[in-house]
Parts: sequence; structure tokens; C-alpha cells
Amino acid sequence: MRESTGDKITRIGISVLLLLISISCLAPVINILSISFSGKQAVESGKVLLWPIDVTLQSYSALFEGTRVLASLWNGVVMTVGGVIISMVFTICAAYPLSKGYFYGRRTFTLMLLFTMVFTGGLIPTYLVVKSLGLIDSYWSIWMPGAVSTYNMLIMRSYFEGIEPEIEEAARIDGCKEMTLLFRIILPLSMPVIATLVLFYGVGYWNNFMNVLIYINSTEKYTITVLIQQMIASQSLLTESLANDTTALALVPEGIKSAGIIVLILPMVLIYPFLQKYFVKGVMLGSVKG
Amino acid sequence: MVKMTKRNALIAGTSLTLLAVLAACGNNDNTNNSAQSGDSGSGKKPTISATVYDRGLIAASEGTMEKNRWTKWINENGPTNVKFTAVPRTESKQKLNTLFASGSAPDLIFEFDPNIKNPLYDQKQLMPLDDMINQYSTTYKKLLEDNPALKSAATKSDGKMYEFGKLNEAIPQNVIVIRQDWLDKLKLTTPKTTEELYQVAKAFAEQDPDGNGQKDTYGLNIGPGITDIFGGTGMNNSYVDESGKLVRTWDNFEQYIAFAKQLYDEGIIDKDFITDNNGAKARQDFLNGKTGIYFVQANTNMWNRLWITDYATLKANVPRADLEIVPNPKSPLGQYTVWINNPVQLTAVVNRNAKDPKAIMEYVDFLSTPETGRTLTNGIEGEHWQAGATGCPNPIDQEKNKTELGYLGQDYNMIFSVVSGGKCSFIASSFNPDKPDEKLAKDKFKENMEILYNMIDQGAKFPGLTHVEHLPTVPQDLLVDQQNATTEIGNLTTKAIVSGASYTPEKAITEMQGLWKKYNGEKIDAFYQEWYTANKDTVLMPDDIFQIVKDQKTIQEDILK
Repeated sequence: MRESTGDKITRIGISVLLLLISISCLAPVINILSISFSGKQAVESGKVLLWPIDVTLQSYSALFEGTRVLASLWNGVVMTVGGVIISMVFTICAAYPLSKGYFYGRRTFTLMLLFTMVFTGGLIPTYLVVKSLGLIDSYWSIWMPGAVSTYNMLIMRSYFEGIEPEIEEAARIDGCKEMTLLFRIILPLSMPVIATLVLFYGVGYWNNFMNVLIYINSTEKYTITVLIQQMIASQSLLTESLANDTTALALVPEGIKSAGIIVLILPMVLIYPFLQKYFVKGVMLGSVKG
Repeated sequence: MVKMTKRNALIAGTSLTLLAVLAACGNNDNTNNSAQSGDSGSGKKPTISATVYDRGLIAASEGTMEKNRWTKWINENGPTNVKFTAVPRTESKQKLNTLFASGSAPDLIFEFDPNIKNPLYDQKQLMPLDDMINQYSTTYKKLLEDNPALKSAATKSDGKMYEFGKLNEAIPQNVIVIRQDWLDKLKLTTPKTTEELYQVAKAFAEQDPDGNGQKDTYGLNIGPGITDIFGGTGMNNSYVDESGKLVRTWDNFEQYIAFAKQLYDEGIIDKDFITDNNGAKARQDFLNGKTGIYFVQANTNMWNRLWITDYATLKANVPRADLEIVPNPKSPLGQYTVWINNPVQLTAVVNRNAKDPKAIMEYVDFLSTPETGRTLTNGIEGEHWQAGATGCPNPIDQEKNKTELGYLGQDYNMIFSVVSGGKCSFIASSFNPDKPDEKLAKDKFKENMEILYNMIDQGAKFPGLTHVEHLPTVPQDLLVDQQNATTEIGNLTTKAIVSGASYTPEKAITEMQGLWKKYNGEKIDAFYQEWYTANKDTVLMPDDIFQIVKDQKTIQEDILK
């Protein structure tokens, strides 16, 4: 089939547009990457754009030797992996029953969950609850209160509801009980939504900043996000504050900050390709044949 | 088979969860125990808790801000065991608020920002200090007796002291530097008035001082201290005392707007200065030799950044570059000094619920001794430093000190006064004259101090009612109004500068006054008036600041000679 001229123009137009958008997203990342590998003077004179100048690993060696970046990177991984496992288990446990029409009290439970999307306890009351549960200064204070994101749970519920009832019937005829049905039929069919939510939760935990700051007291448990945020924010502190806090004021050089940002985003960038295949594979698994 | 694998994976996943659960619990217990046993190791000393800023700059090999060689040193050598709670430097307001709201705030809180501490006083969260100082203190009590300004600054509206503080060097906060090589090339002289400043800046922008045939230079940057030339534009600080009555000044806004507007309209400043909110672009332009007159923050370690690091970068980019200091030019409103560091700075408060005021006071006394101050700044004698030619500590191994002392700053002894430490605590002592770049920094430091002395002698005014840290925080109900007014008037200032001929400075001032009125400005003015009437004799005013500058002159000159 030959493409008409109009189609061709549209296709080229869309490609150019998408290319421009991806360049505008990539350029800042490349710029940061180049800065992290460049010499100090070149960075401070603003000469580094998309290619490193006076290539050096100084920024990285300063970052790894002079800060707790490795320890906090590990903390970030522990918090994220732990958090994703907990969140996924609880989200599935909530979404599956709520997707079933025969589940007693389905509407009430859904409404109760929806309520939390609109109203929250507020920072201090939530803190008091977490404190009285004895969770302060452990990652449970991050994991427990936010274990299930209602929004993500609703996405999963809708996906479960979208699975053809015929598949379920067929499984039941073959003698499947509820648990087997969930683990052997529903979940394998739901890899796209699972992959998506793992990514949502993962990014959420990885970038979690405020909660770590507030609930975690020991700096040895700080995650990399908090560490890097402090490095970056110290600059604005310098210019905004007349508070005279200059003797010890952290003048973190641009290069080290950039190296920190790269270390911060790298794990998420590396994980994405592995999850991506489920998006494609999963979509085909879900189709009903014949 | 495939399904079996998946099931196995699932089981594995579940057990992993359990494992993570167990591991996390185990970890917590371990760290708590070890922290406690570490503290209780050194005998029957009382235990108190204190905050310390965390800046994320401690090396992993050193431990954490709560537990490292210096906390160990404090607990071994001090009169108390101190359990530290780290407060992230950039989010200290959030952190302290949650700690206080949940009743888990430490006994002794170190914080610079009065806008965090004043509300704590208003909420009655703080313990008055008079009794504990009278009963238990020796060193700090003496400091207060010798320096009444410290006592009056710490005294709140109910007549009691609520804050510990320290005396700082009174030195310029900002500096103006000029490209002397450009001045020479264009046969101009250092500007002495704002009119001359404009003329020189215009010549720098238009007469191609870098000789590359392109019109790519800027006269100056809109940077720290530029509004101070016109008397400053802080909304909470723009008052003058007319026989006891505070009068809000608008002329400084008008003069500044007129000045900056002219520069903007004629292309003398970077048109993008508005988006350069942390000064990074201005610094780049300066380092690339594109800026003729550079306004920059230059107190304490910023001084070294300017004269050592940045000067070297500038020279690398433009080998013939030559920098000189410009004294603040005289504006049509008169001669103003540069902004001066807060010489009497309040840095610590005590939690009302603290159990052991005696132990806290003993710890504060311990921090106030010269030996503690020296150790928590320079490290241990023989290990980190040895006495140099001047008798002041000289680092033994820069690299080692960078790791082991780099995170110290003054974060563990924020109440240590420069006067307690003698001349070695002064910045001027930190320059090593054997190194050419540090010698230059020292010479320029001396020059800058002399400029300040001369200005004060000639009766220059301070750019503002007094140092902002000595102003009270307005009551909660007016605070939002004050913040909104400050933001919107700031925006209006920018708008007036960039809006061309149609929007005159006079018009901008009229609109500003309208805004101020709209946001309860009269009530805010009345609040400051009431505070001023009650406290003007005790509060630290510019004359007191100037007096401290003069008092420190002898020791400064002794070091710099």
C-alpha cells in the first residue's frame, strides 16, 4: 500500500515534533552529564554545553570520597525495593477483591478508599500517628502510611475488571480456587499493569524526599535523594539568606552536584528497559483467542 | 513447568518481603543499641540532646554528623554526654517544626534563622535562660558581662533571655570589584557617585573594553549589595528614625529603580538578570571577562572564593584581567556603607521541656572556652595543625584536614565568640602570606576593611534601620500580609525596571504604596513602631554595629599589618 502525500507529511511532521520534544528532554540531562565529567574552570566559566571539556573524573572521586553517597545510594535501594514489594502486595490484595462483583461490601470499601484521595490527615497529625506507632526513624514510617496508593489501586482494579470473565470461568471449570486463580491466571495476565505500578511505586519511593526528611532522624539512614537535594539547595540558601551562616556554608561545586544528579537518576534509567518489555508482552497476553 | 517457575518466583518474592521486614527490624535495634552504649561508655556524666546541622558533606569514612570523631571528642572531653540529632541545613524549619509539634525536640537547638526561633518563643516552646546562667554558668556568664549587647539581643519582650549567641567579626558582607584593566584602557577613573557608576558602566558596555570588536560586555551585574548603595530595599528594614518616630522610606526604592531602569533600557546590564536568581549567570559572565563591575557576596569563605578561586579562573580566561575594590558609590540619598555581618548573632535556644538545665549550661560553657573553639575549628594540635609563625594554627596536611575537618565548619560550636578565641579566630589570621594568592586575598581584605573604617569615620549611613536579624518577627496574623507585600513589591520593582519609558519610577512607587496599604502595611508599621519605642535603647542599632567595627579595628590591624 502506497502512502499518500498527506500521510507522509503528517508522519514526517509527527516525527520531527517527537524528535524535538525528546531533544528538549534529553539536552538538560546531557548537559548535566557533561558538566559532571568536565574540569572545574570550564564549568564555572559556563563553557560546558553538550560535550565535556577538560575531561576528568574529579567530580566523581570527590563525590564518592567526600560524601556518604554510596551508603545513601544503598539506603535508597533498600527503601525502594522494600517499599515496592510491600506496596505491590497490598495493592494487589486490595484491588483483586474490589474487582469482583460478588465481593460483599465492595461499594463501601471503595468509597472508604476514595475518601483518602480527597482528605488527608495533615503533616503533624500523621507524624503523631507514625510516632505513636513507634515507626519514627525506620523505613516503616515511609512504607506503612503510604503502602497503598489509592490511585494506583484503582488502576489495578480497573485492569482486573477488564480481564475477560470467560477466562475466569474456564479456570473455575478446570477446578481453580480463588487463590490459584489470582496467582496463576490473573496476575500473569496483568504483567503490563504490574510493571507500570512497579515503576510508579519505584519512582515514588526513589524520589521520596519530604517523608524521609521528616520521619527519619538518623542521617545514616538518609537516602540519596535527600543527600543530593541538600547539595543542590545549599546554593539557594547562600543567596537567599542573610543569616550569616557562611563559615561552614556548603559551596558544593557544580561538577560535584552534577555528578550527584547523575548517580541519583542512573538506577531509574537502568531499570526502565527491563520493565519495558512487559508493557509489550503483557498487552498480547491479555487478548482472548478464538 | 513455566507455571511452576512463576509460582516459585512468587514464593521467593514473599519470603524476600519477610526477610526485608526482619532485616529492617534487626537493623533498627542494632543501631539504637550501639548509639546508646556508645554514649554511656564514658561514665556518669549527665546526658543531654542537641541538634547539629547536616549538610550532606561528611565522608562515609568519618561516620555521620551524629557520630564521628568530633562528637566522640565532645563526649570524652566535655562535661556532658551529648546525643546529637541532625537537622538538614536546607530544611531546618520543617524538621524543627515537626520535632517540636510532636514533643520530640532536643534540649539544645542550634539555629541561625530568627524567623524559625521567634515563632517558637511566641508559642512558649522555649526555656528562659536567666536562671540557669545565674546559677550554673561561669564562662558564658562572663562573656555576657563583658558584652552587654549579647544580653540585650537575647532578651525577648517579657524581659527574659531566651537565646544563646556569639560575637562575630563585624566585616563587610558584600563587595564591589571593578576591572581595573578596563578602566585604564578607556582612561576612566573609579566611580565615586552613582552617576559616575552609571557613566563607567555605560562605557564598559559600549566602548568594547575587551577589544574583541563585539558589543558583548556588560557594565555591571544586578548583584548582592547593589540596592544597599541606595539605602537598601528590605521591606521590613526601610525605616528612618525621625525623633523617635519610624518613617517608612520609599526614596531608596525610587532611586534604585531609576538607576537600574536606565541601565536596563540602555543595554548596560544583562537583559536576562531576572531569571538569574542565584547569580550563577552573573558569575559566569564575570569569570569569562564579560562584566566590568561585579557585585558579589564576599564575607568569610566567599572572600576566598572571589580572590583565590574565581580570580584564578578569570585570569585563565582573560590573562590581563586586573581587579580592584570599589568603595560603595555615593547616591543622591547620601553615602551608605556596605552591609555588615551581624556582629551579635543569636544561634541557640533551649527547649522548654529540657530536663537538665544544669547540664545544658555546663555544655554551653564548655563550648565557649577557647580550647573547645579551637579544636572544633582547627582540629587537634599535632594531628591536624601546629602553631605557625604568628602563633596561630597552621594545617599540617591539607588533604587529611579536608576529610576530617571539612564537615566541621562551626556546626558543633555555633555559640563560640570570635572574641573568646583571640586573634587566631579572626579570618585575617587564616591567610598564609607565603602563598601569593592568599597574600593577595589578605591585602585585599585589609584594603576592604580600611574602606569600611573610612566610610564610618566620614559618617556614612547603614543601609537599613538595623541588621535584619535584630528586627522582630511580625505577629502571625500579619506575617502572611508582610510576606505577600514583600513578594509583590519585589515583583513590581522588577516590572518597573524592565517595562520601558511608559512605566516611570514615580508610578511604580505610587503602586507600591497602594500595595503596602492593601496588605495592612499601616498595621505592620505600627507593630514596628511599638517595638521600636519600647526597645530602641537596648536593641542593636547601626551605631552599635559601627562601634563594634571600631572596637575590633585594633586587633584586625594588628593581624593585617
